[in-house]
Amino acid sequence: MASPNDIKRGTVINLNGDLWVVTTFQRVSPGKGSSFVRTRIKSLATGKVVENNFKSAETLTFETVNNRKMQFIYSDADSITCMDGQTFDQVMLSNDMVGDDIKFLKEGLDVTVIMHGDKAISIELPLKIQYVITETEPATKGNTASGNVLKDAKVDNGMMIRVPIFVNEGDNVLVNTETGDYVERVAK
Amino acid sequence: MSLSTSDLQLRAQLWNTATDRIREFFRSREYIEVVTPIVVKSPGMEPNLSPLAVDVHTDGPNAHSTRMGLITSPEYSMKKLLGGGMEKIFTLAPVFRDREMPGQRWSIEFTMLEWYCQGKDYRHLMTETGELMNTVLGRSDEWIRVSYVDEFEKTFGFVPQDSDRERLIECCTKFDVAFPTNDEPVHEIIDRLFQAIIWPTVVTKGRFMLCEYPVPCASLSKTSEDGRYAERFEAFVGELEMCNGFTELTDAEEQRRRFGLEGEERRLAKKEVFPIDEGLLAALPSLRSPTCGNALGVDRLVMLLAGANDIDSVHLFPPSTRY
Repeated sequence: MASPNDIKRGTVINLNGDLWVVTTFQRVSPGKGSSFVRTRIKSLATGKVVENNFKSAETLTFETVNNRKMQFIYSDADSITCMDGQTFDQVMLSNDMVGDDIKFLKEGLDVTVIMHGDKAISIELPLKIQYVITETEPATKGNTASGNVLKDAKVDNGMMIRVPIFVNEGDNVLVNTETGDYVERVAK
Repeated sequence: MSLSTSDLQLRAQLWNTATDRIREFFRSREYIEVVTPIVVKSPGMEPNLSPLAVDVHTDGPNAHSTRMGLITSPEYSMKKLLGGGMEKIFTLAPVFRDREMPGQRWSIEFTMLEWYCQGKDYRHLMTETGELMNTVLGRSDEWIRVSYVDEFEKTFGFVPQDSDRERLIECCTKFDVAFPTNDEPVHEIIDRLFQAIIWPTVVTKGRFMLCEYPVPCASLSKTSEDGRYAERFEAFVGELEMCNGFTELTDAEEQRRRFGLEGEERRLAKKEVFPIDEGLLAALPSLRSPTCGNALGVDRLVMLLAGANDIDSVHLFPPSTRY
């Protein structure tokens, strides 16, 4: 038995005998009211996607899944391919299994592939990924007092992010993969 | 410190900007800033909250120890000040909520802005809250109002009351909303239906105030004259809940009854039950009716100011690395 608080992306939940994989989740803890986890879950049998909320006090049954450390190697129009660096096994996942996480991928990135039996059902990214800023406007004289503290920037895999105005081209930055937020500038 | 100096300075500056603007806003409206205790004997009764308990030891001839807790909100102290005759007050206080799910919008410790005004109701408060947030964020957004009970009635055909348990369970079956257990409190079942069926369309409205809650979800708010709804609202920016505002309940008898129910719910959930704050109940009859009050999460306001989605991004000491 498991708690909804343990839900992650790629968790497989057994609901009355049907298996559902969690594609997105959001913990909600209202100021006055009990907390719950808002999820989108996808049926492993039919591919149907539904929204479901689980109150934190509920108990759930999770299916056993295996995590495999792999590297992202390439993507094409509707799928991505990852490879096990030891055995050179390759697995393919459709883009909709990967969801919004696709934008964070870059060649050679270490990811965790979640396997149900011998089927790859999801990937898990590192919480923070380091990128190099390839394009951004130079810092204009800071107008931080008005709250305008962010500007657009492009990173080495082509993704656009928002960064503080003091960040320059060539800087290394960490990006949070749960939120897409800039985290901090790091030494090169 | 692992954060770069530029990151530290920017984060500090954001908090300075937000708190300066908050203070200017309230002072210009003749509110007085107050300081209230953090360690108290009655830290809060809400069944869903878990106060951090502490044992306090005084020394000297009357040395003794007292079971106390860190406040989950400065509300009780603020209302005692209102009972003492203060008319318009605000505070910026650290608050603590144990057993929160760690996440990008939550921390065990965060900063609460609370303000109270005697002689005004929740409608006035909604306007003021929108103006405050616009001032702090340097925006001029329109805040749409969405009535919880109206939306509920449109969807399910009735306005839920405490006596509607059977009807609510029928709705869960009909709308295929996951099965409440038989001992689930009525307000929880209402919330399930709302979250599953109504919320997905409400959340698309951007910046909005969800107001007029069903009576079983009243919390510490006053019930409307016609008994249709509780005079309560929450402001949202998309999915991000910013505050909880009420026309405050000033009826001490009713407040005692609700504390009793909440204490019982806490006992059933095997949570520590702190004593009822008798000082608060004694103060309530002195409050003018209406009196309104709001509690707003400052960390989230700073997140909006910074354009951040993660509470870690606005702290000098990111919460996810503290515990």
